[in-house]
Amino acid sequence: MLKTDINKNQTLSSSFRLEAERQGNYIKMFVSGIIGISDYTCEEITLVSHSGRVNVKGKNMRISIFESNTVELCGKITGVEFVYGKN
Amino acid sequence: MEKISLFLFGYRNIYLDSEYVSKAMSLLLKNSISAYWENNALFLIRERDFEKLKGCFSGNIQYTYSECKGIYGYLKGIDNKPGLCAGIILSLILMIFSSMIVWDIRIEGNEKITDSTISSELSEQGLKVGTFWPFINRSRIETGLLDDFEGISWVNVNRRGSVAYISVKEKDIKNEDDEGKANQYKYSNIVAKSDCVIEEISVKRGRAMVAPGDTVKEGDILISGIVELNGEFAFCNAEGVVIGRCSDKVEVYVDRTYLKTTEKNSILSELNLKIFNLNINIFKKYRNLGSGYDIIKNRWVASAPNGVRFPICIDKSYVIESKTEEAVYTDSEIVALAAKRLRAKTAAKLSDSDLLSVKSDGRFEDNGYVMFSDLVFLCDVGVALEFNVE
Repeated sequence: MLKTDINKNQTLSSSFRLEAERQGNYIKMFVSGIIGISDYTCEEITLVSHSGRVNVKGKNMRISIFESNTVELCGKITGVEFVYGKN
Repeated sequence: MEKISLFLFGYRNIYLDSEYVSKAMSLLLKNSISAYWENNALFLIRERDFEKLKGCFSGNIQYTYSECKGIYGYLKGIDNKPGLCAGIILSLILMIFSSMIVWDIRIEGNEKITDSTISSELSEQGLKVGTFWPFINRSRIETGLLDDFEGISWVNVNRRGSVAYISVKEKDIKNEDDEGKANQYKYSNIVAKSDCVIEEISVKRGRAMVAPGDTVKEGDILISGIVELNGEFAFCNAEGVVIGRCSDKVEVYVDRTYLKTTEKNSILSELNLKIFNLNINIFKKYRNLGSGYDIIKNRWVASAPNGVRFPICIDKSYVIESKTEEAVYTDSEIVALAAKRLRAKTAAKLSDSDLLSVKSDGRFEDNGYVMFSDLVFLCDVGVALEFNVE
C-alpha cells in the first residue's frame, strides 16, 4: 500500500524502501531509510542510505523531509540510479 | 494534507544559501525534523519544530527565518490586539443571545378569527416579538388560547429558529348548528334518482321499501324514514346505500368545419428584471396589435442546483400574432376527435360508477359526425328527499 499521507503516529520502515506513484504529469516518490542528502538541485538529488546512494534525476523536483528518515520527491523524475557504497 | 496542517498549526519560512542546502537536509534528517522545500533557498518547517531547528543549525549553518505564519501565527499576534478579541467574543455572545429571542410570529390556519385578535391574545399570554424563548411556556399558551376562543378546536405553538408558528384549527360551528336544526325539524326518505334495477340495498336507518331485483322508477322510495316502533310510527332521516343497475346514453356531435388558428410570428415585447420586490424594466416594445394575438409570459427564477430559489427572476412577454381561417376535418380526423370527446364525457359520467357494458356507434351527417355510447353501469341510486311532519 502506498503511504501518501504520513501521520505522526504512523510507523514507517527504517530500512531502505522506495515507492512511487504518478500524479498528473508528475511522479511522487517516497524513499525510506535515508540517512543523508549529499547533493540537491532541482535537476539532481543524491540520497544516502546505509547500503549506498540513490541518484534521482529530473526536472522541477521538490523535496520534503519527514520524520523516520523518509524523504518525498515530487517532480518530473526521469531517472533513478542506485550506486552501491557511500563514496 | 501536510500544507493544511502547516497552515492550521503555524509554520516558518527558513532561508539559507545554496551551499548549505545539502548539509541542512542531512541535519534535518538526522534530527527527525520535517521540512518542505519550496526551492533551493527556502523551506518550510512547523512552528513546533523551530526551536529544535535552531538548536541543530546553531554554529553549523547560516540562515534567516520569517515570523510565525498561518492561523496559529495570527492568533499569537492577537495578544497585542485586545479590541479584536473583545469584538470576536462580543459578536459570539450577541449571536447566541439573539437566537433565543422571538423575532417574528406567524399565524396559520385561521379563517374566521383574525390575526390581530389572536396576536393580542398571545401577547396577553406572554408571547410577543421580543420575548425570550426560555421564558415561554408553550402548553400554557395553547391551553389559554383554547379557553379564550370557543371557535378554536386545536392550536399548536411551534418554534423554528427564532420564528414562532401558531397553527390553529377552527371549529365548523355553522354546519353543526345546521345539522342540529335539520335533525330537529325535518325527516327524509331515500328515493331513486333514476330508473334502475336494484342490485343491492344496505339500510343504516329507516325501513327498506325495495329488494334486490326490483325495478324502480325515478322518485320511487327506496328507504323510508317512517318506521314502526312498538306499535307506533316514528320518523327519522333514512340512511343507507342502494346500488342499482342503470342504463344511459352519451352522445357527442362534431362539426366538420372549424376555425384553425395559425401562428404568424412570436415577438419579444417586454423584458423585466425583478430583484426582491424591485421591478426593473429593461425593454418594452409598444406597437399596434391587430385583432388576433396572444400574449405569453415566461418567468425564469434563479435557483441553486439543490433547488434553493433566489429572489431574482426575469420576466419575458411574447406577443404571438395569429390568424384564424376556416378548415375542414377529414373523415378520420373527425371520427378520432368524436371518439376522444365521447371518452371524456363517458369518464365524467362514470366517475363514481362501475361500468358493466358499453356499446358505441357513430354516423356521418350532412355537416358533421355523431358518436354515441349505450352504457350499463352500477351506481348509488339513492338520494335523500326531505318531508315535513305536522
